[in-house]
Amino acid sequence: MIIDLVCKMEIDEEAASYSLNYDGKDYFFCSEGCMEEFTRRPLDYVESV
Amino acid sequence: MCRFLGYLGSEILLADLISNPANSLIRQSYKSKERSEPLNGDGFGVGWYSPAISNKACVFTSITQAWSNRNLLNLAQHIRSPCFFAHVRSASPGMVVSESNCHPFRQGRFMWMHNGTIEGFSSIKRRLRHSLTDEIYQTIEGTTDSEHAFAVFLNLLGRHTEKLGAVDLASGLVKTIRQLEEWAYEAGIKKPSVYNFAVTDGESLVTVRYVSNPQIEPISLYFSNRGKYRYREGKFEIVESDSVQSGIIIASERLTDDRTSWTRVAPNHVVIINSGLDVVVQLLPNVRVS
Repeated sequence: MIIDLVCKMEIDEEAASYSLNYDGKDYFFCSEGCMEEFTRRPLDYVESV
Repeated sequence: MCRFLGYLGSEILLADLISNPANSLIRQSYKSKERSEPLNGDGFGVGWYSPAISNKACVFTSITQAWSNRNLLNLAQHIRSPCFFAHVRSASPGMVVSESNCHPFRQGRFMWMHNGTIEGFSSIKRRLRHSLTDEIYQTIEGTTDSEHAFAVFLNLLGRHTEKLGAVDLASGLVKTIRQLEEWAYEAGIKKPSVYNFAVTDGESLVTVRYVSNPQIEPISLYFSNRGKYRYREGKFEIVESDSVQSGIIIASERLTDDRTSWTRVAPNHVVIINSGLDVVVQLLPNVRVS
């Protein structure tokens, strides 16, 4: 299981329908909304890791 | 498009929510940070519970601006409660500015606030009102889309609301959004609606950040860490605490400058806070109709 950085929910990496690569690293999301939110302000979430 | 906040926890002074913090709700009424139009001057409302007196909320609304209402500022220094709702209004175009159109709305044990818009409300208003029981239909006092959404929520909750908990309220919110989306689809409304709703019964609090089109950024919404609230060195701050003396704030904007005390609610997620102040964040099931 991995964490969706936007909503902090645990999600199954294999089942995650929404993902993107940012700065060479893959990120997975529970929903289109979370992926869009990450796209709008990635630093807010990457820096929180 | 309004700003709001809610609080659940140990008793707190209303002023510690609406006037004392650096980015208090009253400040947001004239200088909102996260809206393109910073003014929210079409009235305001505060609601609170006094459990020793009643399980129903007391609500005070006014069509004056929150920043210049001396009665509000005075009352806020003298009202303590374990559960508050507060709202500053920016009326949607065409909506009447009146006390009955100011949030929060109250019915039975419940209070309700909305930050957003039912797009094409006039096109779905007839079928919405037609769906309501006579009893709930009669409770609508104003003309806003927000109050009508509350009526839909109450209608979907049903008659036996005495033992409902936070999860039931969340379920009711999801059903409400799904129903509104269904009517919008039937009416051919293409523009996305924005449903940042908050509902409480004084013991639980549930809020949602939602927009019909997930590619559009929904209106901002945050919740605070569970904590104690205090002044120190001239600043209002949240100190993490698991003790009985703690609470959680939900708000359109962070009230304090300390970003680490706040979590931005993810788009199309619901935040469920139960009477034990446990917080659960859940992705809304697919409520879009297409």
